[in-house]
Amino acid sequence: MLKGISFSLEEGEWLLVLGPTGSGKSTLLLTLNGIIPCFIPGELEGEVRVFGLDPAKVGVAEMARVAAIVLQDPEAQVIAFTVEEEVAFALENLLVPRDEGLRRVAEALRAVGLEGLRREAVDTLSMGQKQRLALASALALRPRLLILDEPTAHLDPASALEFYKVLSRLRGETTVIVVEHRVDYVWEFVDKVLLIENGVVKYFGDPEGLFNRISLPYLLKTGIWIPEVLAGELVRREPGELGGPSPPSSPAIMAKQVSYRYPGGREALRQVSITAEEGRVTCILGPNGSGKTTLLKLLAGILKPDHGYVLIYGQQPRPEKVAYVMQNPEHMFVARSVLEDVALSLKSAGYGEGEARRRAYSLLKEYNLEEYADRSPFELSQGEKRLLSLLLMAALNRRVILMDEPTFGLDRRYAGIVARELMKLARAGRTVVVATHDTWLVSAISDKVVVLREGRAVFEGGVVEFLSQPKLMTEASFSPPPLLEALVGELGDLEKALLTYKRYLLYPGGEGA
Amino acid sequence: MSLYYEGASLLHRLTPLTKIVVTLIAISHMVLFPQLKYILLHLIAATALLVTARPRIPIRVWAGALAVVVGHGWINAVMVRSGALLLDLGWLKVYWEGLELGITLAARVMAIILYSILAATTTNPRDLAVSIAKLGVDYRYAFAAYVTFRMAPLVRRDLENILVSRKIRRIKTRVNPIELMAGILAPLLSLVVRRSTLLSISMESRAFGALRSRAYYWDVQPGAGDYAFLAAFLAYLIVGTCLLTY
Repeated sequence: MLKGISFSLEEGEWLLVLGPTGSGKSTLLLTLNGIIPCFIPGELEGEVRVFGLDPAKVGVAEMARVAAIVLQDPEAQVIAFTVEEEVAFALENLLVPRDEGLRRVAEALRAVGLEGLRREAVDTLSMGQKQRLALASALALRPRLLILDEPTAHLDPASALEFYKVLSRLRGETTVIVVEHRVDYVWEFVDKVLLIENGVVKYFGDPEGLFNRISLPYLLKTGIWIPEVLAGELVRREPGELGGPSPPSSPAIMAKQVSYRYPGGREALRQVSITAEEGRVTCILGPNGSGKTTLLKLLAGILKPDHGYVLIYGQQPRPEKVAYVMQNPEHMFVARSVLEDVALSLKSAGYGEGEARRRAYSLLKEYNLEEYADRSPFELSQGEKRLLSLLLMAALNRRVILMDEPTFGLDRRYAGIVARELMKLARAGRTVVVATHDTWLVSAISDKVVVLREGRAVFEGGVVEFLSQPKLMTEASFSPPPLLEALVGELGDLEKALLTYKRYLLYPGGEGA
Repeated sequence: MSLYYEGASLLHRLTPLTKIVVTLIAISHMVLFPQLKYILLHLIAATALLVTARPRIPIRVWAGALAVVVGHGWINAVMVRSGALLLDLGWLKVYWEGLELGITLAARVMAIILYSILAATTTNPRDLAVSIAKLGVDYRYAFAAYVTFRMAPLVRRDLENILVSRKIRRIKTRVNPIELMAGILAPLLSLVVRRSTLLSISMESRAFGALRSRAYYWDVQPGAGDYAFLAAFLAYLIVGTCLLTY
């Protein structure tokens, strides 16, 4: 995974690790606190020193005294039942005396703004709060090194910004090494950048130097996310034709006064009425916990509304009638090989055995996945899995495609492919509905926006209309992409800026639509 | 997370160890005095505790418990093939003795289920882990059970999503076992392994298991309430047994 990586940091410096999916970023992070090779076995050559300690020799526990890690998925790392128990967990393990431990718990919770929720059950927290809790658990250890592995991947933009706002208070005191796809949020804080490609260091140095040493087109080709405002030169290229949406048609999806409460739980949706038109991409936005996934499940017929109704082309929704791409692609794989899995979808769409296999192969070629045809879907990278999950649903040939966070955790290359495929499906006459936190995706592909807040639909309208209302964007926990804002300033027209932005996001290499 | 919910009822205030001991005493008593009249003592006690604690028990748990009780009782009832005939459908004969046995066994199972549900809904899994560790069990094993509680709802959610995905793709569930293994168990296993790995990384990197012992900021020590409850429960059983016997 890693080949001859060398870099060093001064105490208090912040390092941003960049690299495409599968380049070895997470592997590098896990070697820094000894998880590799002490917990996850592997062959480790060379020397790793963290404040003079060799993680492989001193072990994970000793490293916990100097280095703390925050992982991508807040739910996957929660151990305890209540907030204070979660923060105290590591301190109890290290036999920190009770009085001091509880003092540190209080300090850490205060630092992340969760002091009022000290005795709350962790399960009642929002995703954003859970990730701040993970940060508090790390801070309670008073680490000299904080390791962050895509800590905002599951957070809405406002929560992600809040996360880094909290973290910025540690500048100059704590050394931070962070892997982050949403580079715009962290760029202003980092002192150094490490670019890894295929396990090899391509660049290590000041953030500014990255663009002097490595050309922007090359960086885009690697598939990494780069700060949008620094990509200015690319957006001024001659425009290509993007192809607009088809003229407005009658609603393909209609939800009327829909309410839903989870059994024994909270009311997730309250009297939501929305429509989605054929041939268009409708994006559902809203803070963590606003009801986006619940709404998608109701549109898919997976859940039944308590009140109100949903109609898909005039009929009751049924899971067998829609294509629904889940947030976790692994929930969707059923066959032993990628080819078989796609063929199964095609058979469901009515193709015969032989024809399904032939067509499956050509679809894999279309999605650039043909080299994995005989591999197990579970062996693919996250980006490839996501792409395959979209292909599995596209192959069902249904008129409605629903997607839950389609680009979450993907590098720029795969995110771009997924976004282009969604546009293609919509332009081919499908009705595409996407729930997302990715601000760039909303700006790049949506024809229509629905904003949910606390289970209510607070806006339904065109993307331009949405992006012209700062108050509404705040309500949706949405912050416009920095490049789009810059373009609006430069071009003085939101629609023109949006078109230019779409072109940059979807066709950064200038290949055109 | 598990069936536990926060509360301040009498049962919530008892230590997990007290609840385990009470459940074990109850089971032992039902083994020593298997007649229906003694088991009714436990059903009355469990119902009284149920009314006091008012646990939030999901309907699916009640439904599962009822299915087990009725199924267990019914099977045992129809297994008895002698005595006074109560019902004769030709292919099915039910005798008075069989019915009595069935009701007795169903009542016993119901009592055990009620005690277990009361303990599960009012015991913080963490406190249970701490109590087990306090008994001298290595805290790493004690917390393993705790982490299993933590994982259970996530795994259930994964399974639900896998089944929904199969429905969307119209993949029939009437398949051969190998196909079923590949289609449901393989993805579920893959997700469980990944979740377990992430949780282990999260625990290990927070020094779990690094030292031979650990501190407990929220200690779980039996107090006067625990001893009083235990004494009252024992007294209830002794007095009740004596009254029903003599």
